Amino acid sequence: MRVLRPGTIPVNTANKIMKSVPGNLK
Amino acid sequence: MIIVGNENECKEVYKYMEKKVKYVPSRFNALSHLDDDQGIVLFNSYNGAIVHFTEKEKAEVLASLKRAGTEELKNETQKDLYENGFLVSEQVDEKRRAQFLHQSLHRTDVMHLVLLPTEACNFRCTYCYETFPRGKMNADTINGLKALVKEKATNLSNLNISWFGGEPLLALDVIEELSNSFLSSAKDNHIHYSCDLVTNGYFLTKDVFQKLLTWEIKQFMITVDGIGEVHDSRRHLAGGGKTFEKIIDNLKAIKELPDPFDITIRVNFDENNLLETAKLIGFLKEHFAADKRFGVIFRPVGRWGGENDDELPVCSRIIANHKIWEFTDEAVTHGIGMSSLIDGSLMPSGSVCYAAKPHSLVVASDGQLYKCTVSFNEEVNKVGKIHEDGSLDLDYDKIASWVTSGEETDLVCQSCFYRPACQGNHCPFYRMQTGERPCPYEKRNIKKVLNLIWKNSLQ
Repeated sequence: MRVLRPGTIPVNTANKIMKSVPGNLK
Repeated sequence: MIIVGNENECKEVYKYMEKKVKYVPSRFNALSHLDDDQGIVLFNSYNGAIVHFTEKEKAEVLASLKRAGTEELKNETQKDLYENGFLVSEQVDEKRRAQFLHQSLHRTDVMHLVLLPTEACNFRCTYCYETFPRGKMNADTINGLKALVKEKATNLSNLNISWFGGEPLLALDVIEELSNSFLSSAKDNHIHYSCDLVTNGYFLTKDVFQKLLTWEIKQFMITVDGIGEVHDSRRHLAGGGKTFEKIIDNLKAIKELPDPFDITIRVNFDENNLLETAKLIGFLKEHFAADKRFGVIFRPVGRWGGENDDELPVCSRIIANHKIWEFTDEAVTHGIGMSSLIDGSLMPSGSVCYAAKPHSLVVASDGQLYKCTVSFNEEVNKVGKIHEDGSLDLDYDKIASWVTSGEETDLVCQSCFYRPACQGNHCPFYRMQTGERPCPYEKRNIKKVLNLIWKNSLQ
């Protein structure tokens, strides 16, 4: 097994700007 | 073999069997089989873990992740799966875990401000949804922000600023004045301070970039839509002039700096530049593939409220979903890094939009407060005002409609493997406008994304 990214304590990740509206708005 | 004589005995045996099962696969797992017998990649959206198992290890992993569970951790593989969160004790209530994670967004020691140092822009991109009604941030708002951060700082552990606009680099003096004040407040109160900045790249000279780095702005997003005329026809100056060469010259100069930074080159595509994107990937390979501080992200142009919406040659949903990852695969194959924003979005809460976070606000140049940056003209988005003394007038009813419209009211989201990452709140405005679930592109094609994260990790 190779760890690409270790797990984290989820509540410590509560806090970037990437406008990614997932489709058309109209 | 157990022989049972009546219904009660049957129940007893069933209870006994039930008690023996100790470890079950997490409901938040996703698994991707790699091509060419390269093994499998596992992802858990509750803790963000991503691991790779070889083809040799695969059979044991798959056997360990059967829904019926396993009574004990019998081998190293199962211990690894448990330690990384892919197997959980059957006593764990995972839905409650997700609910608690969602509630943790209400912690009061973090603050995220999206600031518009100016709402003016020197570009007039064909697909832009902004209307540029106001210019540079006024003195009252600047003073209000300094006072707000100074007052809040005593209770903050994290302060994150997103510099946005308009084109923020048209107001470098505002960024400087606010940054110096914020940095001072952060230092005095031992706050973890971080910033990102979205710019068209035209004014991002090496000198400007170095100034930004000293103000702890380390993460950037710059859009390049094609080579030369392809880019210039879509992202031109307000007077119609070219922009491609200047942006690329700036990026090449920045590449020569030794400092750590994280630049995402964003490529917005539609039917007009779809066929030109392969050439752009070749160009980016030539200039930026060797430098892992640069990464790329592809996103479809959408009808987001701009004046040209009806004429935009947007891709169909199916083509957009497919092309995002086809282009990303091509880029990674050519050695170009994948933007850190993509694996960041796979973190717990990583795909929740800032508009849905209770302690995130957009501050416009006149002190108006918003939640969302793509719907400035919507009444529900005008949530308040900041005053010169740092006090805030807030409409909590409007704010509530942004922060409580996700997983709380959507049973499908509550049962989704991706729930901890997006919490049904990837884009609250999309849900309001269309009534549809705003599933992120990463979730829709998670197997392909995990494949690409593994491929990207080999570089």
